[in-house]
Amino acid sequence: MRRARGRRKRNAVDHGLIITSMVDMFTLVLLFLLVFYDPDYQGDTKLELPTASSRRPAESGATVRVSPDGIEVGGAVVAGLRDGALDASVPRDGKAVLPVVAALTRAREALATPLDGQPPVLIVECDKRVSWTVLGAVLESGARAGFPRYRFLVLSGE
Amino acid sequence: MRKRHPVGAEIDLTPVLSTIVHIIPIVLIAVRFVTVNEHIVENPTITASEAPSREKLDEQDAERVVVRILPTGFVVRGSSDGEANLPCRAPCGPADYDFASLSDAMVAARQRHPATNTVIVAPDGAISYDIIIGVFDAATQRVSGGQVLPLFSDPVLVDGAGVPAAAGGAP
Repeated sequence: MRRARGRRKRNAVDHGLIITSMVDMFTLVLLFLLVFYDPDYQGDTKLELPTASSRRPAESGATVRVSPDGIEVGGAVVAGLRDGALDASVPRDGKAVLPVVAALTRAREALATPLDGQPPVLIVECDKRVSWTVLGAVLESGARAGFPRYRFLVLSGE
Repeated sequence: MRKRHPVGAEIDLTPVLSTIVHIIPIVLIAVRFVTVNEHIVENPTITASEAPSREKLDEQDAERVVVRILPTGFVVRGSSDGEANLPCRAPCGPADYDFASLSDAMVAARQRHPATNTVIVAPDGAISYDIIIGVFDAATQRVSGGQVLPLFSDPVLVDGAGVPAAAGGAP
């Protein structure tokens, strides 16, 4: 009986689940994801960016998005596209698209003045199927809104 | 008091683990594992309405490297005497433009114009953005065997309607 009691005492160790290692692992995975998560880049399955070998990392700022469906500034569609061309009902002045000019002007005014005195840069997210006729109109509108330089976002092709 | 806090008590990690397990799927759904880079381009200063005359362009030819993108292929000015015509290898689709020959022409243009970093890219109206970015790639650098040869760092995008091709210049 004494031997049996001794065995029971030895076997009575608490076998609780040791989750410390799992917590460590999950914490590392979470940190990894948070470091590489870019909330400024709002990916869209409708938009197919072209691929390029440029190695210059993208920066954030005032953004215009040109998809086959329309032109967006600040997440709102300001001009619609139909069959790959600007909708005839959209008011224009020469090549410039007036609603895009107005929206980009507001976006530029909302930007903080850069400390280095550099002119503001407009970020262009454009679907690779969009034609130069539409893209040229967007760039002309950007120029009227006070953006002398553009950053064209591309997917890394390396 | 000692009875309430026995020696060897462990922190209860279950709520922490539960929180992390919930956050990870949310972040995984939101994150996109793609690398987004950029090409910096100057303002299109030459539009169709502001286009310089053919004579003025001819005068400035010695200083300019110009890539016209036509529905039939590329025309490069500045890589050789006169213009180099680089027609599509097949009826022009996005994959049929001769980017390899364009890259060779850009290297030749870089050797002929070592003092300038500007290249003018002039697409016609129907040209897609994909092809324009391909021209930027060929004009700004040449990647070969993992080595990068910088070419023209300042591409300027202008309306092709403002840059007339030479007589018979279209491929």
